[in-house]
Amino acid sequence: MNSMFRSILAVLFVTSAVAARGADMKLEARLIWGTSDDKTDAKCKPIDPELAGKLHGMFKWKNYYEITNQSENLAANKLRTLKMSDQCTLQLKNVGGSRIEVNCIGQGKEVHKGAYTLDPPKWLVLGGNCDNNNAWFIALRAVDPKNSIASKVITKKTADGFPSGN
Amino acid sequence: MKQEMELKIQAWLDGETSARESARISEWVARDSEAGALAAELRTARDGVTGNELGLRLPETREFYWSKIERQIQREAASASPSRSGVSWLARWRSVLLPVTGSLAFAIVMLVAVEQMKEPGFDEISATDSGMDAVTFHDQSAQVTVVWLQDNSQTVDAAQQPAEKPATDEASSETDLE
Amino acid sequence: MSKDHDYPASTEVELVQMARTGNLVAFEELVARHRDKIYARAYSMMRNEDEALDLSQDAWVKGWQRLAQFQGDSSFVTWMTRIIINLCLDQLRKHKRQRTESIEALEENAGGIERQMPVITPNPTEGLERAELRARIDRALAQLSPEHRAVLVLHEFEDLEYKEIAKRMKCSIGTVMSRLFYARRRMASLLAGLKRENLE
Repeated sequence: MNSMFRSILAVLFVTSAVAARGADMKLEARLIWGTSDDKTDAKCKPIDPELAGKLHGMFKWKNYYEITNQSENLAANKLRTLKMSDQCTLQLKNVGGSRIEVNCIGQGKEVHKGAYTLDPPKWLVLGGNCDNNNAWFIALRAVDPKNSIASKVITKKTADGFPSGN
Repeated sequence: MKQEMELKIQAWLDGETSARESARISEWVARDSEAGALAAELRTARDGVTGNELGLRLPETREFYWSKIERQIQREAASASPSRSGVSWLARWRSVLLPVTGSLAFAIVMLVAVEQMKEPGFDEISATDSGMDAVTFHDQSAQVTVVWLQDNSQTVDAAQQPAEKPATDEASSETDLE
Repeated sequence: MSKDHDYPASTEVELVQMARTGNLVAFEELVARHRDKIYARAYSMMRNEDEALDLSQDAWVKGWQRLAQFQGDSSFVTWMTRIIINLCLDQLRKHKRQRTESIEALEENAGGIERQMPVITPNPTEGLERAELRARIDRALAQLSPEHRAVLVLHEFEDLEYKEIAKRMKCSIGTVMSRLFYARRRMASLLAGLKRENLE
């Protein structure tokens, strides 16, 4: 009886894992320009305070402006291409289990390729220096919590109120 | 100001310079406004922090906290000395083998299930352009993974990156008590 | 082990001597007296309540096991503090092997942040009440990387020299100096930032 119960549990795990692997992922991608220059184009739109706070906490630039902001629904195992600017393209593939493959193409050549886990509200930020001591960033996040297994995990918090790292 | 000079100002403030160097730096800080301003900032940061550690109370009752320590002390003492209960080796093996056989089938089934749903425990960088270096950082508190792509043709100021060499070739820090 | 002995009224020397003979009740009294300080040191380095609790417990267990090695050259709490610091540094090294790169190393590659930070004047801690200052310092400490925080804690709170810090952190004195420099400038900047937020 005990072993039958355990077998049923195992079957349930496998089924839910298979279901999770096949889920679509809604992704948000932003191209951001980092600069300490106060004199910028009036059209420059500052990024939202939450993301600005994170970038300020990690990088030295004074201002962060959003150049493009795109959302894309990534079906499982399908490759999508996002044109972030005239010089920057992202190839994205949802490989399931909240993981995506990212291929960053700059000025026609492959700059960086990697596979990352994106459980909301986690951000993936690619970045690098550009002219005049400024910086470029591509910030990615999954925005549909229903597709994430890990988001259901209860995380411990530090006294500061942030999830503890391990 | 070169980083080497900045660190000298700090060492002077912390009393880590020789008497002769201390006199030289003291005189320089007094006449150079930039050095003086940096010294003032470092002194303020140091004095502000020293002696102002937030007093924390351990968030468990005395009895509960101690009970865990006591249990751990007794557990480690017991594992340090072998059992002399007189139980025969056969009975001991039997007590181990029976639960193991019962759980083995379950363990195999669970392994298959876990393999199916296991997420990789780390991110993989497959490739970066040969002219670039990728530095990855996970900031747990901000919930951000950063991949910084750096053009590796840029020269690095050696003064910014002192070599990290161990001071001594010591055994584990556990033995370094006094 | 006398149950009638007045442990709370005993001096530390008496308690240590009794504990060395295997008296767990005496040791428990020592734990009760110093548990907050040992926990606070662990928390300031690890910034994680659960880890600080676990490590402080481990420290007390090690303290019990190594009582014979305590010679009385320093106070008992100083000796225990060294144990907890070593445990925290070991744990931070384990964390570092799991992390790929320190964010401050990243910033130092991305232009040398301490060079970008303007010198902070006036004194951002001026006019603050002690409790508020301590709270601000604690919040600012939380924003440093573990390596920078460890150097700051060991130097400013534990009053260790560069050489001693280098030995404990298993790095060069140069690394200690540059980490301390960065940590102090970052603290000054963070404290100034926290003051601005408060005014707003």
